Amino acid sequence: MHRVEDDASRPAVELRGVEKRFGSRPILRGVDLAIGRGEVFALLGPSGSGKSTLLKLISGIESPDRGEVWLDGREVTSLPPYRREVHTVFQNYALFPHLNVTGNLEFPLRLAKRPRDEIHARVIAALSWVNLETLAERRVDTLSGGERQRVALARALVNDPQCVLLDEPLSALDPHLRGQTLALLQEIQSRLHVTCLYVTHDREEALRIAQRVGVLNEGRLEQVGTPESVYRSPASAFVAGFVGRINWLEAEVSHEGDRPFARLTGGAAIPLDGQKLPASSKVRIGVRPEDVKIAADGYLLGKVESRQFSGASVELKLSTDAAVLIAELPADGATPQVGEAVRVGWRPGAAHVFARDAETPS
Amino acid sequence: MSRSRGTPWLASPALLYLVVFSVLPTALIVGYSFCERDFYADVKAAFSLEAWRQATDLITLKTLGRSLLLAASVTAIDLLLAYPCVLALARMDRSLRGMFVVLISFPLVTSLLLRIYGWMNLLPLEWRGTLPSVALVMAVNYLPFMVLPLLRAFERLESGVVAAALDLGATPWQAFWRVTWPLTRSGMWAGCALVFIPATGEYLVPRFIGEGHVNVLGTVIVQEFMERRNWPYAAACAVWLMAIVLAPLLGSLVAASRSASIGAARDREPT
Repeated sequence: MHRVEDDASRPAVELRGVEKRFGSRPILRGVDLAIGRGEVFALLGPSGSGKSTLLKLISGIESPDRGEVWLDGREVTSLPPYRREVHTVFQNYALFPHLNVTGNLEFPLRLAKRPRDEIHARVIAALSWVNLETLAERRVDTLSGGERQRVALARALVNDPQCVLLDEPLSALDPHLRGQTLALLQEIQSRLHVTCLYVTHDREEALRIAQRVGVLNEGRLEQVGTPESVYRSPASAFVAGFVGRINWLEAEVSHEGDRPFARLTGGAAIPLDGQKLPASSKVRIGVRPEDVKIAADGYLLGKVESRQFSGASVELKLSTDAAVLIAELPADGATPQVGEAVRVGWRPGAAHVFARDAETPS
Repeated sequence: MSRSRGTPWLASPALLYLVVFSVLPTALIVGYSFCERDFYADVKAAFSLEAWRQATDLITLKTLGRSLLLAASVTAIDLLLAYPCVLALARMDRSLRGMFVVLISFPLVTSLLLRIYGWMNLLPLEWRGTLPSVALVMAVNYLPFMVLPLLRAFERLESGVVAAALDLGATPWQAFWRVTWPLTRSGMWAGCALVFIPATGEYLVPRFIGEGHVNVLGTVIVQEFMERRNWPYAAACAVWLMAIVLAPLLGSLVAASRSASIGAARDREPT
């Protein structure tokens, strides 16, 4: 029924060519993904991109139409959820209201038929991971949202699973609790070295917690890489726009000699070194706000439309011939005032160039 | 414990109603059961234990047992019919479920007598006048009272807890017994009470489907009051009926208040 592969470096979770459709609607269109043991992998994507379905394929609540699911070197594609050592932290926590905190934590241990004293020891340890020792006997409906979240986390971890799936775990929390919970999660993970698949549509959460990020769009993994590489070298215009704020400029490729240039609307020309693009093809150029600089030799002439000071940085809205640009400048330097005319530019490497046919978010 | 001490007089109309139409008649019935029988008037105003001697003899106790057996069978049949029905209903989407709920409750808007006459024609001749056929017809009549509270409990079952149980290693069977069952049990008890309590005093179905062969407390009380004019004995039977209904009700009330006070005490503990 399921195959086993012997390999010490085998991934904790692996998807091979996974496809899934609901009716005629394709949800996942051929996803390949390997998550290493002890790794924190964030799956980032907009709602409807197939994130939750992908989680369900791994936990076993759904099964793929095509492709294979492997857990720790074992093929589990057709195994039901209770035969897989994968536990989920649900978005709404899904705690058992008829059991107290201890009862909730004992639930997976009793099903796994752990001996009585081991159950006791594991529950005590799990309570200490999430700082809930004093609430062990409380009914879960008397707990606050943050406390419930930590019970759900402890319940998913207590039976030492091969992988913990976190389905938008912070989305039901108050914003001020999210950072705290994220830090707690990171602390527990670094102590237990448990493999985590963290699903979210919040780019900040994903970039902060993950060792690697996968960006999912319309059922396809568009890019997998470290948070820095996904942010700094996005593989597509979608990824560039989804993992961070970005300014978009429309341009057409032209060659002067053998050096390619991008001719912006308004006439300014930007060198496209190292880019192989056919002449007169349409491109979009993306520049992140923090890469936009005020410089005497800048490519564009712009006028400061508005200026917002926020402590560490100043955000400027600049109107240029090519487009309206947002610039985020460090607040310690001298920043131009509203109405001032400035030259605007960026390092050559800071511009992300994509062929125009690629779709981009606004 | 007294949370709302403010305006107890608001309860006085309801209290008055309760005293005049419930407490006084009940006291009267209990009083009658200790009176002497009078063939021409209702009762003689003289103390007698004759009615209770009769009400604790073998024939009455057998009738009592038959009433309990009938009510318990009806409750059991309804539970067996309602549980799978509700499992299916809970999985339907809202609009379809609403339609089925209306269909299930529909018998409640048609006359009970008409339905009984209908059943008298439907049942095979040899089934008439038997306890099982009485139980069958009563079970059909009471089915909505089992389905509706049970369905309510299933609708309140927080979405995701069953999926969470499966995810944490429960087989579908274990998920049912460890999560679905305990979380819907209260609805089941409510349904059982709503069926069992009126079923113990049922008169119409045993009278017409039983055709005089199925004697239960309900039929005996009517017979003794109306035909044999033995009011003290009929009153004693009515007290029996009340005791049957009240005993489990009081028991559950005591249990509920005890668990509530334990819960309250737990919540007061400093954390």
